[in-house]
Amino acid sequence: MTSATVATPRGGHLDPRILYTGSRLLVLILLCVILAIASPVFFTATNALNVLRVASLLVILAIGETVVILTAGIDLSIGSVLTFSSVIAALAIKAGVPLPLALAAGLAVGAALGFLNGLMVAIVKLPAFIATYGMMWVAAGFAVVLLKGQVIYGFEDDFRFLGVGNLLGMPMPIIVMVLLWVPSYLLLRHTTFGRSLYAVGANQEAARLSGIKKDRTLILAYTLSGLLSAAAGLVYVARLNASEAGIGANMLLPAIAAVVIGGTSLFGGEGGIVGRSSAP
Amino acid sequence: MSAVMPQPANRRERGPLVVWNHVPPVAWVVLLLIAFFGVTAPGFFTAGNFLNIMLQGSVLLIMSVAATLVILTEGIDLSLGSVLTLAGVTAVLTLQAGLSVPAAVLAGVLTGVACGAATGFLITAGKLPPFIATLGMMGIAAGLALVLTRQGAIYSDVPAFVFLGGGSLGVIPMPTVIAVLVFVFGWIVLYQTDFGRYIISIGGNEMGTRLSGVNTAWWKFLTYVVAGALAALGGVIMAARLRAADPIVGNGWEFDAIAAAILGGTSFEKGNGTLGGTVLGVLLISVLRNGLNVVGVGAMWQPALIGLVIIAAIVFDVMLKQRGVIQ
Repeated sequence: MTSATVATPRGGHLDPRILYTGSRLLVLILLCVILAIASPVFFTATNALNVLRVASLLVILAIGETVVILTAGIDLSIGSVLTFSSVIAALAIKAGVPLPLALAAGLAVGAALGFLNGLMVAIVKLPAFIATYGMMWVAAGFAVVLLKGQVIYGFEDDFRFLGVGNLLGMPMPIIVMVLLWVPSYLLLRHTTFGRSLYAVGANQEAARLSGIKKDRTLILAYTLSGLLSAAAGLVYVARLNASEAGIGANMLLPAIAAVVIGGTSLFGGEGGIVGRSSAP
Repeated sequence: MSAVMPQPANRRERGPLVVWNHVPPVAWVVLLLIAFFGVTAPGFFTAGNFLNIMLQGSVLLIMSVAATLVILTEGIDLSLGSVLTLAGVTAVLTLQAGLSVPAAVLAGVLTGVACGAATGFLITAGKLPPFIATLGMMGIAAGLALVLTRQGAIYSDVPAFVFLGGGSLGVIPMPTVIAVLVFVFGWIVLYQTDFGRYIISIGGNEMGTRLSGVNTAWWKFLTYVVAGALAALGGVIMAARLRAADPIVGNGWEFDAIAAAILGGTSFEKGNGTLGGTVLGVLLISVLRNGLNVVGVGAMWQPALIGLVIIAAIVFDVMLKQRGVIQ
């Protein structure tokens, strides 16, 4: 379906890609109109912010998943990586590590797990499905081990600000989401790395033969996915004011669904994150 | 594949290695695990424990046969877990309505047939990618299960129904008996019928198969119907074992089933894979879970170890294949 739309030569007056993204927007607008008719509260600024606040975590995760799916891979470990890296950050904060350092540790751990996924897929050449399925168990498992089955809760206000604070009337999760979304968009659309993601996804062999560093692109894609999962995890724990081993369990499928509904073909090489963000 | 295509001549095929290089690497991992658990835990090598492993692996085997058939057509079915849930729910609801056990089993399986037919229709007539169509069905089936149960478990302890999950034939647990029958059914379908040949051939080259006059859309549709029916059968057995239908019992099962198939050598590319390999994948996961319990590894450490062993097994598999030790 996707391929037919995108592959059409641009003969008409409308770029088919605009039409494609437009169809998702149309559904989104329709949904908003129906909900607005059904409930008068829907079309208030407060509610719009609420919807966005809830969706922002999913958007952050879905950006990472998009990057991986563009390479014709899949990352089943995003929920577990989210959990594990947030546990690391929470433990660091509770151990008295300065906040910026603790956050950096969480992000670094997420990126490292993503890097491992990338190594397994690109260098060891494991199927992405099984490599990240294994990582899903490992990351979730070590989160349980580190927490010893307990819940860490009650954080200082400076950390909680990330999840519940407002900056100029905007909830922080939304700001974080936008701060991550804009560079990701630029990265995908306007950099060599972005183009090589699409190329590797469409045809690995052709991409390699035309001089694209396939392995590096794959590793970087999975690393980004891990990093973004960690970012989502930090915001989530700051919002919940608690870190526990189950928080990421139900995040994987909504994130993949968001990517797919947003129009990224699972076979790689097509799609982008404009379409994706209308999905949640 | 070897059933339909002559393998290229390989120097290593001669001599005593001829048998060994056809053994899937995951088989060695399973043997290694069995040896390890056997030495470290005295309770592991008992008939009772082997029956336990078989019981625990039964539903996974049924699900994995379904996953394998679909993956062989170069598809994927993410709705298997939700269909398992929904079929258990419809079966228990049928019993609660006062109908007989065969009617309940039929209702459960027909639920799966309907779900499979819907996804198959979306994929073949609607030209949706399998990932998207089955992801949608996953949401629909899971949502329906929640609505029908009003978000809580529903119970039934009709003796004949409970027998399906908790009874045994001789010493073999009923779920295992059914799982073996499902495996035999899958094996016959895949290797002894036109349907099976078309499944393998669609995975190898769908366009070529269609151009040689095969109605590929129909056989693909049928594959999803069969997969749905099998997942539903798994759901009925699960409900019978638990004496209840839980609206989230199947969550994540689709990943376990697909992982077992891939561990057994089935690949998303070019429809490679065998049902025998899938049994090994199921054995690996079941032996691992059981063994960790018997050895006395705490529940806390188990998920991490399961993940590490799965990764190690697949690394071993890929390494051996790259070095040409096995095919």
